[in-house]
Amino acid sequence: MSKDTLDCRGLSCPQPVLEVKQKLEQGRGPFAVLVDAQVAVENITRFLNQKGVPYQVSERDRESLIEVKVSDN
Amino acid sequence: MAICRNNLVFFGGLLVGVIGALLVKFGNPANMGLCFVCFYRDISGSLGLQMNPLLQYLRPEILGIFLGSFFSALVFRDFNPRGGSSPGIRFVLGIFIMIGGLIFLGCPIRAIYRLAGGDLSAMGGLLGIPLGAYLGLFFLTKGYNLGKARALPKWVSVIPPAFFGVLTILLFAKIWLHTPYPFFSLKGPGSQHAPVLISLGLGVVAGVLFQRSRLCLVGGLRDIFLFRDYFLMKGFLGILAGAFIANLALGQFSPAVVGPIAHGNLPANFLGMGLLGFGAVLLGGCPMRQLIMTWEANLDSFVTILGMLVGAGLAHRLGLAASPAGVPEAGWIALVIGYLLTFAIAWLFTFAKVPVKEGA
Repeated sequence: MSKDTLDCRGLSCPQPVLEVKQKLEQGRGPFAVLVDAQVAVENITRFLNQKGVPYQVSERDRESLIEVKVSDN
Repeated sequence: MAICRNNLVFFGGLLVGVIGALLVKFGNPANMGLCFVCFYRDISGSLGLQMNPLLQYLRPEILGIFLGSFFSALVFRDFNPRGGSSPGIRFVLGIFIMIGGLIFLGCPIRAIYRLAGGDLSAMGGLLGIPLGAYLGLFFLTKGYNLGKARALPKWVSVIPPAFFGVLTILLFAKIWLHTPYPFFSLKGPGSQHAPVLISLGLGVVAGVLFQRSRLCLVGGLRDIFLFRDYFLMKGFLGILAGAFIANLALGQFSPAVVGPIAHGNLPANFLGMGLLGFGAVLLGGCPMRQLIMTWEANLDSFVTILGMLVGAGLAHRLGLAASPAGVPEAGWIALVIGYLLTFAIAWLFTFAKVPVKEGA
């Protein structure tokens, strides 16, 4: 796992989306989030949609990797 | 996709509202089409955890919601055995969110049904939920964490279905074979219920809707406070609208300052629901969501449900629960203890840096 991947597997709702929010506010370029619950994927992507941040979701087994493509702002 | 989900959460809510009104029409207690606090309490009475003769019934809606969300979770691959995120703490929080709910006399969903039925005293509770959500979120944004849940061996996921399967067997043994156990009330709210198969069937539909729509009032408030996102709240507006219209159509809408199976003690309603909301945010979901996550094989949520059943037992054994007559003195003491303990747990897991061990 690369340094810029947030491992949010096993965290209770809504911690994954909170971590993404914090990471986004630090504003240090693109990162990825690894989660293991569909609800977390939906919460995070809804949040990113709302912020207008582009992302890409890929699924493997029961886990999803969300790659967040932030630009500097 | 986004539009599809958008509609699902609103129309899902609308349908849940109508289902609630229908269940009352078929015989459930007033404004209690679905109520996760009341139903866990009736189940705890039915199993003998509390012996209030008016509040004992193995609510088939809960079992139906099991079936519905269980199969929905299986079909849509949300089924994922997990656990080990401080289950002991979750058990304790489960006890106290139940006590908070029994001081108000309902869960967030019943609060909406009560309002949709014309019961204005529900407002006290509905205003309490944001208080609780705010308290919980304060700690969450400061780093509150009960630790990570781990993947569990597959066989563990059999435990919740087995538990609720046994309850289903008990239910039908009672109805068909007239076994002395479980206990069913002969009068009072516990004796008022829709025909079993209707309860079960509508429960299955509600279970699928809950599981698919991710409906969660506490989550809805969380998204508003943290992200100014109103998505999940639409589901609750849906429930309110659906139940209101259905109640009007069925002649069940009767405006009153204090409606049936409720009390008008504003501070108690406000603080009771506040405690439930506070605990629910710390647990990651309200009493309904805990049930849905149990079907997704989240063993921590299952432990929370057991805590709520025990909490209901304690609330009635010790005379803490409110009734239409009002809130007993012991209930106020329990409420204070509940807030103190919940604050202590929130503080410990935020600031005291309790080393959260995996599987602890």
